Amino acid sequence: MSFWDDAAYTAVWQELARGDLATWIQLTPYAYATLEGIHLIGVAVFFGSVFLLDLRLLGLASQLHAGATGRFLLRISVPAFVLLAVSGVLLFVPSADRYATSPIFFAKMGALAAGGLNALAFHIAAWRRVDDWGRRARTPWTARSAAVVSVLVWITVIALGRWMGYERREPPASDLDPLSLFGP
Amino acid sequence: MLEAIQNSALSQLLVSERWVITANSKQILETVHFVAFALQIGAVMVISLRLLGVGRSVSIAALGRPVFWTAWLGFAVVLVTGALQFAPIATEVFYRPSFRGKIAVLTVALAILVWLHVALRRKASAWDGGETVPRSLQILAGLSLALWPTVIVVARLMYAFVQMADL
Repeated sequence: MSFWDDAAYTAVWQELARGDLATWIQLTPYAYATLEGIHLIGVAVFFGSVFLLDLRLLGLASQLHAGATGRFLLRISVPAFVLLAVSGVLLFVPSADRYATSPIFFAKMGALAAGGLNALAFHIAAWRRVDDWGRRARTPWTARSAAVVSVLVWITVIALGRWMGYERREPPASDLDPLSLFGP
Repeated sequence: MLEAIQNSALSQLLVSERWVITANSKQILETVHFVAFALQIGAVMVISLRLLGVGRSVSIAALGRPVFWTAWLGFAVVLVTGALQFAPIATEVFYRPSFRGKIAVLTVALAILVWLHVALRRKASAWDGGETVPRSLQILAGLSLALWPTVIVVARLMYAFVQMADL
């Protein structure tokens, strides 16, 4: 028996999914769709900016100074990650009991943790000395491998995130009726 | 025309049960669409912010190259995966205001993107050399910063309709 079958464990998430916040998100027309839109804006800004740094680390766009470019892109990707975390929690709450027992959710959190560890390893192994190699087209092998892992991990996270969308609790039809708002 | 698209062999293949992968073909198309638009829109947001004065130590000319490569390649994939999702539901979706709204905002945002690309090709080295980025171009960068997220939100609301109508 796994921990996600444990009655006490599932009860916690069921309570969260029945709470005021979850109810508000479920019953406010378009709240969930708007939150998802905001989450997707976060995905675009985060992955787009991370990917550009990865390109530089792989030796493309070598006219860019890796240090200055990295600092600039971090000023974009860090706020985007905060946006992703906040909107992500709000998307989790109404379906908390389903997600907390879903293998796809655990896989996404695992991939997310791998992305975080990869960023940490890159920071320790290469980024701290970026002023030494930032002008060179050929970056340290640690930076290049971190860039490859980063692209693969974040694509995995996006794919698992999209697949999670198929596990969420549908809002009551009467309260989310796009036919009335977008009718011909 | 729309009926021809929806009844085409391709549309039938995309929704048919016979093809093993089709059970998930919607999911796979959506995922590729997501990854591609994230790369495209993210890259556009980065260059827009740079034109608005964030990260002044980064060369606009050198940043523009990877940004526009990523943006246009990403957009090509977005277009293909978008068309493949559109085809099987062409008649139902084409007349929806949310679909037309998405295409309208997208068209304006794309026109601005082409404009930014052309302007960068002609003037980026001058801006890197100390010339100020013209106010008119900064307004376009600001518009691009607002319009691409709008495309995402309108697209999500359109998706809510598609789900509700169970297409």
